[in-house]
Amino acid sequence: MRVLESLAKLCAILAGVLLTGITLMTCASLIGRNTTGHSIVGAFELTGVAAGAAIALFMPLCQIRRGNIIVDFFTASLPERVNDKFDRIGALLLFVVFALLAWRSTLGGINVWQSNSETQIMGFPEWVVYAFMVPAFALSALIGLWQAVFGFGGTKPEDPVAAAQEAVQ
Amino acid sequence: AVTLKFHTFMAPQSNVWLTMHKAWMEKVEKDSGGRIKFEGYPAMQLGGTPVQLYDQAKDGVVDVVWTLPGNTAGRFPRIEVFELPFMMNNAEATSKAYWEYVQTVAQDEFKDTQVLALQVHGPGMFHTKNKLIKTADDLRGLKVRGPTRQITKMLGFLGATPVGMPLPQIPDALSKGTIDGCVIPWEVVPSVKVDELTKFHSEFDPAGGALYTTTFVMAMNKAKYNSLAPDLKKVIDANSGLETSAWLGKVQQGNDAVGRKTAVDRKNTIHTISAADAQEFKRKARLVEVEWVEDMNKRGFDGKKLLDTAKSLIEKHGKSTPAAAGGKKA
Amino acid sequence: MTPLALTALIFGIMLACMAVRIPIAVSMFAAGAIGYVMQTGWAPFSFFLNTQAFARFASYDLSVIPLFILMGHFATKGGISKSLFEFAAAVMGRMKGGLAMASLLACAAFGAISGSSVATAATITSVALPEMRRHGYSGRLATGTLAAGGTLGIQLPPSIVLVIYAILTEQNISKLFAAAIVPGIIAMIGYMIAVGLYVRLVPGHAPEVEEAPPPMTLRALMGIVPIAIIFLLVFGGIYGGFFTPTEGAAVGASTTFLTALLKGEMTLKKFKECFYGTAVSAAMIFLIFLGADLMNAALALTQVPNQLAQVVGSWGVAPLLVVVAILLFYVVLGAVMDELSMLLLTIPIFFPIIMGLDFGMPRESVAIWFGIVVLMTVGFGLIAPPVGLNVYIVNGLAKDVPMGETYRGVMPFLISDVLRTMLFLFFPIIPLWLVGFIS
Ligand code: NA
Ligand code: NA
Repeated sequence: MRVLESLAKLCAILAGVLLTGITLMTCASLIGRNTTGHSIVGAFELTGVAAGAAIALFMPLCQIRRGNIIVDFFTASLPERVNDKFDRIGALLLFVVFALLAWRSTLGGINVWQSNSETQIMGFPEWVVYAFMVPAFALSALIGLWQAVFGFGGTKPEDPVAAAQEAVQ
Repeated sequence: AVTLKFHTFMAPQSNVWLTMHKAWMEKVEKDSGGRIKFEGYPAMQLGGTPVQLYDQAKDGVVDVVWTLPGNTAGRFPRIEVFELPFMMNNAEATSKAYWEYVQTVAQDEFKDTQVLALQVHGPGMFHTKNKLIKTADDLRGLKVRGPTRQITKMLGFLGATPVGMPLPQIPDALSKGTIDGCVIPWEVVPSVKVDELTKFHSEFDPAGGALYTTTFVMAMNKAKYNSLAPDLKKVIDANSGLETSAWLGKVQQGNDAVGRKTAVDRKNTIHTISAADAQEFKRKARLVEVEWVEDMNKRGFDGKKLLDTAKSLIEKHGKSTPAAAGGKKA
Repeated sequence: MTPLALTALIFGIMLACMAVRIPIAVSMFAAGAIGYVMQTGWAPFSFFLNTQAFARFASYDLSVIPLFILMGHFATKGGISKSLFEFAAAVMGRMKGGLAMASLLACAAFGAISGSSVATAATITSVALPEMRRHGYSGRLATGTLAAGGTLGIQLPPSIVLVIYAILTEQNISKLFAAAIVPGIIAMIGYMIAVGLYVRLVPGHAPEVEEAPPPMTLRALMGIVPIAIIFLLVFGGIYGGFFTPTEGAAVGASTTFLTALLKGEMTLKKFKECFYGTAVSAAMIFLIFLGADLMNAALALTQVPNQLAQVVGSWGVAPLLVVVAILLFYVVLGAVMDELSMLLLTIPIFFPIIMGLDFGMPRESVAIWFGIVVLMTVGFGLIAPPVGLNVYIVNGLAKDVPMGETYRGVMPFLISDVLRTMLFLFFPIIPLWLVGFIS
């Protein structure tokens, strides 16, 4: 679990760096456009593909922190033991979803690689994004499987209250 | 009866959906005596992005798609020749040329699907907010949104600041001055409110050729096509190919008149850049052609031969096709 | 199976999964996948999956969401809320219930650079709650005010909810933001009036005599300067034509980060935590997006949503009644379901129905107006019992206040919400006025 969590954090930081990169590039491009007339013409395409990689890389940490939101209204009065069983089934289904996504996105990635699919203006190869997405999905699947088998290691379902408290400290 | 799913990115109220896609589907349904039925899904209702439509037809996610192959630049390199500056002035003739070009020198470009039609839209042109474009110099320093890779490049060579953004963002960007203008054909003008948001429109005299056009493809899943009964296959065959491509191009350029009228009604200034004035644009834009030929050579094709073939096919079909309605004459 | 039965089955599977704590995104994914495969077989569905994650995640339009979330985290960690509240207290402190009103003002100011109600509620609560309690405000009024004030984070632009509505309905983000400004300010004023009436009608919740307000110090004054600069830069830039809303989000994120850095608040540890926080919120939203994509594709294949618009259009009931029915449905559904997934699931179905009705307004105006009233309903859902996310958050930060007290505390604000929603239902011109002004 420790290893999975470290990997998930690494992914999140990588994604954060990608987002920061987009932010800086966008600022540079629009400053150039509004002053010297020189801008990064396909900047919006790079923003799109970088965001795609970043979002996928955010997935593992979200699952480790149990951030995928659930409805606990109907099960609130059940014993914790029962709810834990439900949550493990949820983690197992999440494993299936991400395993499916990792598998199918691999095929999707191979297809765009073989067909040279590139973004329209910049010609940025799309397979690069898939190359980020597939490992991130695989890691998320692994985390879901681990949680289904070994439980959540004391992590409570992402509690917005706790998260908010943590955020303002 | 066979049911075919038709998927595209065009909006359900758009002229393309109403006058081209629906009309085509209805004709096929009628010709098949009701044995082919279409389920139409405009506006990407079945998911994915416009770029992915071609693969959706290839993989059988849906049965028929209509999309922009130029969206995935590296994938269909040879057909990009039709998107070079100053190639065409008549969408019907150019659509025929495009069909014949693919059949003769770029056959494997769309080998993964059953291609039903290959077409282009009517003449693309300038629409500007505060300044009328009469000469190439007028573009200097203007922020102009470009539709395709080649045209974006051309805008840079012409001295404009090319801005890349998705089509739906044009209205917002124009109204706030994020861009000073854009290049699109008349047909698209009302849907992105360019008639309201700009005051000046610069067409090119057809004699000198239009600024640019964009290529489209209508493709069908191969396995689905092959699974059709022989007589139904014949119905599809009769509604695809050179003539259908020409018809789609003609209808789309015909829709230019609708867009042009909105600008006329608003008393916007519409200027025609004469064939003589167009020379300066062409001189500066020629570099786009040169670079495209080099790029094709690098990819292992004979760039020069492809360019010459496209040009001579456009000329050949231009002679046998009546002058286009819509656009300028409307 | 008839299309209608199939539709019911798809929804049934989704709701059944949700009821037993399966993550919402996974419930949608599973129901959508089953519905899809039942209609097309495995092969088309599996190929659909090849590209759908890329389609949804690698999108320029949607990239504005993680950027605004990142901006919110920088703002939360940036230590600007304290001086913001000091400033508001110096302005409002003299009135009866003044500190509660100051909290609302601070929420509005913070909300104007944060796209999230959760971030706004948590941030302002952390500074305003101790102050209010110290001055003798009841737990009920203090937490109720802050829970309601937090919803100003989405009522005022930037707003993640409005961004999602704009994307689902293909409307212009900046016009929707412009439309939200006046209603957002009215919401703030309405909440202040609610406080003013409450402290007069129900004695014992606020100090009878406010102490002399804290003086307007230079520090307090300087506190609002960064917020004002960020707000002016982002919205001045968007409406002044220097950049698009997505670019505005990037400008906002970098200036907020810079502000936090200059205030000496941004350590490497906090920087990483901003990334982690963004990761959890953004991944949660986008996985729901993907699940909703599968649901919506499966539902589109049944052709029921397409026909629904025509059926409702042919009923001939008053269009306004349809809107009211939809909003009431949202209030009921929002009681048990998270508001975001609710919108993702229902807007693709309800929006065509609304656009098919005649309100005597241009289509775009209808779309914007409907977006604003839906936004009001989402804000209502965030504080309404039995499950109000903002109530949970504020109450979680107020250790000594029972949950029931906080729910009692939000009642005056819920009444204000209902009155305001009715106002905009009958006077669409209020949200639309500023939109007409900018375009
Ligand atoms: Na906000
Ligand atoms: Na609620």
